[in-house]
Amino acid sequence: MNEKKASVSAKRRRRNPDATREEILAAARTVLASDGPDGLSLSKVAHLAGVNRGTAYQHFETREDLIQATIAWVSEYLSQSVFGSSEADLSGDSERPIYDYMTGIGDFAVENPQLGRIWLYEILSREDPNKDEFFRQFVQSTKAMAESEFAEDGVDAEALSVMILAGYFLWPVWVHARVTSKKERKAMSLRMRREFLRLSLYGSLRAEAFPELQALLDS
Amino acid sequence: MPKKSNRRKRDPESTRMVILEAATTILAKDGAEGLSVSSVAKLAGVNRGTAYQHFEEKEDLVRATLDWVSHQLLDAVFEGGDLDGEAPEDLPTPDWEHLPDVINGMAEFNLRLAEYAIDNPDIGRIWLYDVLSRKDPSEDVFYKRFAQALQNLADSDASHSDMDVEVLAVLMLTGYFLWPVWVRSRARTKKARRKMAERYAGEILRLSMHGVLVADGHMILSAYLKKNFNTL
Repeated sequence: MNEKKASVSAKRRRRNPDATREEILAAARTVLASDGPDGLSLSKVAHLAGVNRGTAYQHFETREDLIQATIAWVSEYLSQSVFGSSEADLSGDSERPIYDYMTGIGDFAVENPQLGRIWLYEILSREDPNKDEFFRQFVQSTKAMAESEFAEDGVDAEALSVMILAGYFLWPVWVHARVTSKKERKAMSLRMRREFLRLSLYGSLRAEAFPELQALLDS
Repeated sequence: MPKKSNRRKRDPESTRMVILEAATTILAKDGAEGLSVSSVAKLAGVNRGTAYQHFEEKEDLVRATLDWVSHQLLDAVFEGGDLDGEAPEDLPTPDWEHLPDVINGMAEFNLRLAEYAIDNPDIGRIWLYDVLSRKDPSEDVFYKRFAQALQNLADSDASHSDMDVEVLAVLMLTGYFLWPVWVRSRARTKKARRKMAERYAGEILRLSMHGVLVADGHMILSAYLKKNFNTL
């Protein structure tokens, strides 16, 4: 940490606790991504953010508070970039179909592979994942689509939501083991979007000619 | 205790198994960071020297444990075939003519995979992250067989053309192993977990058969696709 830079930003911080909070959260995202929830401590984050420990504790009383605030930051970021400020209209006949929203998720995931994966795990393991605003909106959108006239019958919106999110947030693990440039990552993100679209439209099998197989799904 | 150690002296292979089982338990609970050869030896009830004879370094033990998990998964989910992940020669071709067999086979496969994932949530997820981060995931016996099965399907006339097998393999596998995380707080009994496994396997079968959208009637989406993806 550059001493001069640190003292300049310290001055700014005194004037602006919100900015300090943001800096702590940014550092927490970095630590969470590199060391996981078990490796995160308030003092490590404070050190990286260039604030003293006492200040960090004023903002976040415990390690757990800081982890939860970081997870909430990711949710908020995703909500904003995916759904915007208002509840999305994903009934199927909006100007922006759900597949367009997925681009925002895919790009975030592929640029933040560790953070995205940890975030998803934290959300899914909660007693009630729907308390997370992003997850709630996402499942809600899938449900709205499943109930629309454009959807196939019998979609299990919760199972489908988990599948989509798992695929989108774990694909980057695969991507990062293979490519290194931002351009290549973008191409890989498009590949995921394309296959997801194809799967949503057609499935994998040409099953439409075998209506008797429907019984398997209805049982 | 003395009886056990006699057995081990006679049978290094079963000692290896005891060590791998203990390593699986620790890996599932604490992850690779929390695993050491000595902590595994302690849990396995073998002395450290013996454990080091089998696994010189922690990395060897972690790798051997994940390979073992992959074999167990292969054994639990695929029918027939050998332990190197090769499919049996006499499998029916997944073609248009055999589509009902293909779909029935897929239904059973989905259920076995969903049940394995729900019964082994932590080690399953750790195994999955490891496979996805490998430079060459086909070194993993289960992944190799799974990707091959999808490739065979993609190459046949039973499937839609244009499948991206690598992406589809990742999409499919990740869902199975993350679903149990969501299920954990919702299904506390064995019976309830089994229902959740059925539910997930059913949705994946439905998705594979029909997709999500009625593609023909979806004019807006078609226009969107045309604009953004000339090939679809």
